[in-house]
Amino acid sequence: MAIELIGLNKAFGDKRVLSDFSLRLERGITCIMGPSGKGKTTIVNILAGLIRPDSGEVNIPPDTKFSFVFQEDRLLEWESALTNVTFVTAHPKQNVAKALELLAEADLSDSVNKRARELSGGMKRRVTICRALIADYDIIILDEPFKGLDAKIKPRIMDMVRNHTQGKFALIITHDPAEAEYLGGRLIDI
Amino acid sequence: MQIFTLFIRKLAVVTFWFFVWEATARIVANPIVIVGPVEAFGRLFELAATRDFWSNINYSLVRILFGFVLSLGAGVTLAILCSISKIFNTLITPFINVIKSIPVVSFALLAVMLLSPAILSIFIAFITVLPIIFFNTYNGIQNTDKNLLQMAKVFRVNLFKRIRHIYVPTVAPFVVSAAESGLGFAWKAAIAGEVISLASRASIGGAMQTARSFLMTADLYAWTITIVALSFLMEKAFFLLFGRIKKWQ
Repeated sequence: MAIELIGLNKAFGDKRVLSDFSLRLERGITCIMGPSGKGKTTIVNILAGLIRPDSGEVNIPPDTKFSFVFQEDRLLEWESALTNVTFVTAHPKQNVAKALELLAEADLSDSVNKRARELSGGMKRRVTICRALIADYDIIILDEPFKGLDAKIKPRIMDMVRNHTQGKFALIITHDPAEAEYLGGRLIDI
Repeated sequence: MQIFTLFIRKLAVVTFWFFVWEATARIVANPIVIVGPVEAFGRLFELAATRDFWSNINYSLVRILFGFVLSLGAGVTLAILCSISKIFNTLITPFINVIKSIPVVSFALLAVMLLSPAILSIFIAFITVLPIIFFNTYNGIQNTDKNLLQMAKVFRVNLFKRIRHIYVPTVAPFVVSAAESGLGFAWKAAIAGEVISLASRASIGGAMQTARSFLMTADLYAWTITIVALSFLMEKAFFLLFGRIKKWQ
């Protein structure tokens, strides 16, 4: 399976965000780094089909499913951490055990039944990562996934992401060179 | 202790206004123009001892609640359809806007020519509440977090789960708020309609109309107190049953 973005151009009004951008994704982790406003989120949104490029090609196999950690948490604030994780699976009841394992791995065992709105910012972020990891899809996009995590838990969550994305196409957006270095894989600076 | 102080304060306010009311009635000293609380409540207790009083309440209450429930169903259904179909929205929204602007008096007078007195209260309760439920539900649907819907789309979450976990928790508080205020409107409008349209004497409005015709002012006051009390009780009952949904989000 090959995933290619070829010659992408995108402007929002007068502001040109992407100019002839190309990328070939390999299996494993690919980190995209760069300053704000350089179009990193635009790239992943185009890849996931959330926005259309003005021109250029996106070559992915038809019916490819994406798993996504958005820049914002996008949690169901009124539902429990556990429901938020199983929500994205086709059969939530059959995935409870798997969700509980992931939440435990993210050090959230004590909070599985708490509503998302009762969780701290860092805890919410970890729930969104668990949600993305339970959906066992081939392509996983993580847009600043470690934002707001405290230094103590961050390495554990980065290890978790690295372990669960093995053999998959994982595209991670980050501002932090140390994160990219820790995760390994390819690094694309834009 | 605080609750006790609050209770004493409320009691003092009520006593003050009852005193003003009684004093005004005594100064005017004309029981056709105004009766005081002693006479009004006295008459209320007399009426409450009759079977007719309760059957009048039953007659109006059942019809108004039925009209209200119909309107709840129709308002929510129309709002969903308008959110799904632009054509439907273009067709229906102006119609409901017109309904919203028509005074209850017009509906009551028009309805009395078209409908039997037995279903007049149902119709007025229905037509008064429909715009409130419709517009609130429609706004609730439009207010659904687009980011959450996009997240569900990316993860290919099926429609049933989107409705259950995203739309219902978002829209339900809007519907409950609308229903809460709609219930009060339905109650007041339908009884006004019953009075205006000379509906069946078996209704509350009918009983009020009779009292007015025979200058039985104490009866009018007694019925008004009954309406206020029933409205208060319905509001409380509704809050007990559905109040939690408002805090869902």
